[in-house]
Amino acid sequence: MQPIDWTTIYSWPGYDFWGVILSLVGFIFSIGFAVRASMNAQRAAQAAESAKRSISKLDVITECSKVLRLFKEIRVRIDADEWDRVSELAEDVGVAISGVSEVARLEMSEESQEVMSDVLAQMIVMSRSADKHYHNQSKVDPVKVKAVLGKLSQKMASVVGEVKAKVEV
Amino acid sequence: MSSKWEQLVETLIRLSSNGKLDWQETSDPEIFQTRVGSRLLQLEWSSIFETFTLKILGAHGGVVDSFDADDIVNLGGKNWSPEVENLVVLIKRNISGAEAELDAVLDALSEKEDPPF
Repeated sequence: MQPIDWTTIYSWPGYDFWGVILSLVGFIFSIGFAVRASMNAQRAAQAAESAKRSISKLDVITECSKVLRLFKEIRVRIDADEWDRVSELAEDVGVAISGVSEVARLEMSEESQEVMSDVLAQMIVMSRSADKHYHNQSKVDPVKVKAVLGKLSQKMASVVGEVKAKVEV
Repeated sequence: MSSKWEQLVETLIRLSSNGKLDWQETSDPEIFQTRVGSRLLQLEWSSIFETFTLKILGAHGGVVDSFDADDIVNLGGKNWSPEVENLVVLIKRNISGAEAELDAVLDALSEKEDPPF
C-alpha cells in the first residue's frame, strides 16, 4: 500500500473550494447545535417557571381555603361567646393572608389582591374589637360581626374560584 | 401637613356625599373603611368623645398615616368633627340601604308628579 501523498492532495485545485464548503457546513452545524441547545435551555426555564407559578397558585388556594376555614371557626366562637378566641383567630387570618408570597400574589387579579388587603384590614379591626369586648371595654354586636364575616367569606371564595380556574390541569 | 389632612377630610366628605366612595362596615360599629386605589382608608368615629381618627393603610394592611380631629386643630386647622359626624350618619345610611331606598321612593314620587306630556 502506497503512503498518502499529502502534497498532491493539498495541491489539488478543488481543495480550497471544498475546504471552504466543508468549513461552512461545519459552521452551519455549529450554529444549529447552539440554537438547539439554547431552545432546550429556554424550554427548561419555561417549565421551571410554569412549575413555580403552579406552586404559587396552589399556595394561594391553600392559604385562602385556610382563611375560609378560620372564618367558620370564628363564627362558632362568636356563637359560643368566646371573644378571646375570636381575637386570636382573626389574627390567624391575618397571618395566613400575610403568608401569601409576593410571587403568589402576582397570580391574582388586582380585584383579588384588593380583597386580600380588605380582609386583612377587617381582621385587624375584628381582632381589636373582640379583644376590647373580651376585656369589657366595649360592646360588640355578634350579628353584625357575623354579617361582616359572611361578606368576607363570599369575597374570599371568589378569590379561590378565580385562582382555581387558572390552575393547569 | 394640616392642610393636606384637611384637604383629605374635605374631599372624603364631598365624594361620599356624591356617592363616589364605597364605604364598608367593619366588625366595629364605629369603624368604616373605603378603598382609594391600592390604599385603604379607615375612619373611626368616637361617639363618646365626638371626634374621629382617619388612618391610611398600605397594601399590606399596615398604617401608613394616621391623624385625628385634634391633630388638625393643633396645627391651626378647623374642627372637622361635626362634618365627619354627618358623614358617618350618611355612611351608615348608605350601608343600610336607607339612602338608596329613599332615592327610589323620591324618584317614584317625582314620576307620579310630572305628567308624561
